[in-house]
Amino acid sequence: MNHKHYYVLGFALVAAMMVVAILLNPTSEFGGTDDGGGDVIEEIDPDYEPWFNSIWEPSGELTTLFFCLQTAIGSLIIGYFIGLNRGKVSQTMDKKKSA
Amino acid sequence: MEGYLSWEWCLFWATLSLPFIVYGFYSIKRIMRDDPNQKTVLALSGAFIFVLSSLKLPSVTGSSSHPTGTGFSTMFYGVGITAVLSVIVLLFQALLLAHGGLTTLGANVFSMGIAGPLVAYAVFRVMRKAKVPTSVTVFITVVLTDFITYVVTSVQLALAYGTFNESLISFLSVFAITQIPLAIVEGILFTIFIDYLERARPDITTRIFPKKEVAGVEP
Repeated sequence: MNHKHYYVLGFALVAAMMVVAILLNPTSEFGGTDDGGGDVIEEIDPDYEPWFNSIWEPSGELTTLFFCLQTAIGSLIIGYFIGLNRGKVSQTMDKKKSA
Repeated sequence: MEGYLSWEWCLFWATLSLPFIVYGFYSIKRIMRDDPNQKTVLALSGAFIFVLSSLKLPSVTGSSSHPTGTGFSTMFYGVGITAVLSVIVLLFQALLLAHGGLTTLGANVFSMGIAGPLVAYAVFRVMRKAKVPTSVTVFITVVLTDFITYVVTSVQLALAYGTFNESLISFLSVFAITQIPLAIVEGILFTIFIDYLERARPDITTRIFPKKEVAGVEP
């Protein structure tokens, strides 16, 4: 096996873990642990009232948009870097060929 | 978790985080001045935190949580710079997504940008000294940055609510258990990326993973 096979294996493993998580909890809504933490606080101290509220809270659709935006910004930078390397490698290969 | 920590705790964690952030800020300035080539790696460090902390991944416990993405930055730059990058991402999420929170920013920076990276970086250094293979080092370091972050979150909440021991168990069972598979996922992804980086850009990785005598580098 060369390194590319290991990469495929790694990605497959990641995908498998997600699938297993979903298969084990077929009816779960996969609520965030942050909300889960809030529930625990309510159990420990039922009288607690958050003393500060978000100055602005986006609707569900907007939340999705901003999360996507965050992912996109990061992916763009990583993709740019990988593409740049790819270009550099093929450039040096071309030079070797023509030399 | 806006408003879920009393203002005394908010102030405490913010004060504790501040020196790391200031130190990290000056480290970034110094790097930009002395070694502009590092800009790419710095940008990548931030990019990974952006991507991975935006993803809410399902876990075997039936809830979902965010990876942290701080492993890459931790290996290359240690704690200070990771703290600064975390502030940027956490501000983005607090302002645009009502996620994490402004009042709790100090506490979140401490768990994600300081405590997790600090523990992981220490272990990373030990493993480098002991000449542990690169892929193993990367995997363990990244898993620790992620996992310790959520352990510390649990400790922070347990300190603020109820009797410490009992609360800690409750919070750990929510945060830490869910996080284990996600930390492993993150570990696998970064192990692949660092391996790719070693092949494509050895000039970048030699700084943290000095090459053994290489005979004929593979293109």
